[in-house]
Amino acid sequence: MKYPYSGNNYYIMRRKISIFILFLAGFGFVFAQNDTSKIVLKKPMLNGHSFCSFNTTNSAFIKTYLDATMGIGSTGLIELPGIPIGDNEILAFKGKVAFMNVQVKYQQKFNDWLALYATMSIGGRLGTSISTILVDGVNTYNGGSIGWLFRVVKKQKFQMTGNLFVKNLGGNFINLIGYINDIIDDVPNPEVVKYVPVLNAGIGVQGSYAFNETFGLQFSTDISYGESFNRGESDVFSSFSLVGDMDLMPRHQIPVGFGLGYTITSNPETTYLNFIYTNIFSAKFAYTGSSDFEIGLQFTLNTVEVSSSLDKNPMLFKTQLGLRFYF
Amino acid sequence: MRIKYILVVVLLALFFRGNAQLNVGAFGGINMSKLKGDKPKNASYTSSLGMEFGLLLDLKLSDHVIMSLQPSYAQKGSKISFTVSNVDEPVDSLRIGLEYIEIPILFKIDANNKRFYALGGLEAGFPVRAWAEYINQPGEKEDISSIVSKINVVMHFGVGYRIPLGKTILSIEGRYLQGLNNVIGQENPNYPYIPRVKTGGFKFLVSYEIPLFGQ
Repeated sequence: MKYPYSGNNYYIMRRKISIFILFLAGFGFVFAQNDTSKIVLKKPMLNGHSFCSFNTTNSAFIKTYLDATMGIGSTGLIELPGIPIGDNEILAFKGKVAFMNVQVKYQQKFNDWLALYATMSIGGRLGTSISTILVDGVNTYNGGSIGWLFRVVKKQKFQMTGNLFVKNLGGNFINLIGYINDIIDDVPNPEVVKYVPVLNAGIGVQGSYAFNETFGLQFSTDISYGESFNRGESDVFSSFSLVGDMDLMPRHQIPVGFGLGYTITSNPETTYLNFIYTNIFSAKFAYTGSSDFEIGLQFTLNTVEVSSSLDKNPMLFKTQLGLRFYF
Repeated sequence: MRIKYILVVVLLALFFRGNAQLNVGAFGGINMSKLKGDKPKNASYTSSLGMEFGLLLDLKLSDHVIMSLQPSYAQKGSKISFTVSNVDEPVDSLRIGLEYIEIPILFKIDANNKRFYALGGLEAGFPVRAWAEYINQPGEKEDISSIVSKINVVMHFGVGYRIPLGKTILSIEGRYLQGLNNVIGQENPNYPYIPRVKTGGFKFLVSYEIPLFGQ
């Protein structure tokens, strides 16, 4: 059968993906081989409760897993003022701003109290019409983080871990109006496209508490120091997140989990240019019928600062599909 | 004076004999480093291959934790490629070389099977040589050590695998490194091709260890 890919590329790609999956499975097996005498609970559980994963809240569990999250969202209709020239105002537009993000995370458990994780992420925001692209520009970031997760407390109902991480991001900002403003203001060497690298190092704490087999609570907090997307400026960034979740599987045999969360963060990949805090409200529905994987839809609502000339920041509604495979 | 040193060595030897395991060894390998950070206009950084070798001193702190001191010499650097009109691929134009004496303090954490281990820690690197070379003019190296910071702090993340060879151990390691401070802090009009940058990259090392004290 011929596939619409050139030559043998399809087969080479399929073979590469198979080798990658086998590698991950083998890697997990090698590290977990001393646990074969025990019943291996792949999904994170405490007190009989299986926790729902949220991409806004770091997991407190030392497990080997691969996680992928894809999200897309949009603000409501916003009106942006233009540039005043004399008594007139030019380039004033109406439009929406769209957001997208993709994140892949792999965490490898080394022993019962230590894991190493790495994430790769890409995200961006852009106007959904030519007018808002002109005014707001196109902002994207890409990069990743790498860190250690180590156990601090483990009890029957409660587990807490700490983490130590380094985050490396690169932001690309295309802003035509900013470029015109720079020319008007006689800024030396104005640029339409600005690339800003960001490096942060930080620590965090995350915990999980299981009230019973149905209800659980998770929290995570981190603090980091480093560069911001404002070139040359460094600051302290922090975030705190709290999630309550319920799993209907143990008592009602319905493989559905549900969670509600709240996050406050100043991390640059969420807030983009400014040193501000953003409040994020989350809800998630997940399939909880498997001990090996979790799949779910997470909905988030938060305010975003699009332009300093707006009186009120618009709300962003985002839908994210999350997949997590435990090895 | 010499007697004092001998006494200290004997005391340390007795301490390690009674309480801990000490391995000494040597290691070597390659490092694929590149600069990360601000870029000159129409430029990108690509990896540069360098060698690394050093000595190691592994002190076992507990059943799963080893503290490792690994003084070494390392060649780092990067190529700077520029986008040229009418040419599809970026053209390698400049090679930056940074040679360091590095003193990392790492922690190795054993997996349950004691063969695999994770490692992490911090390193202080002291530059011994820094140069820039135009690729189409090989041999003409420009000394840039005056603009390179006196210390480079680097964070290590890695994994390794031990192969016992009788009483000695051969280890294979892969590490990811991320520089935490700028190698070149500010843009310099004399060297416009290197703005605010940090080091980063991967290391692949092989080490050979001999147990000195302990089990």
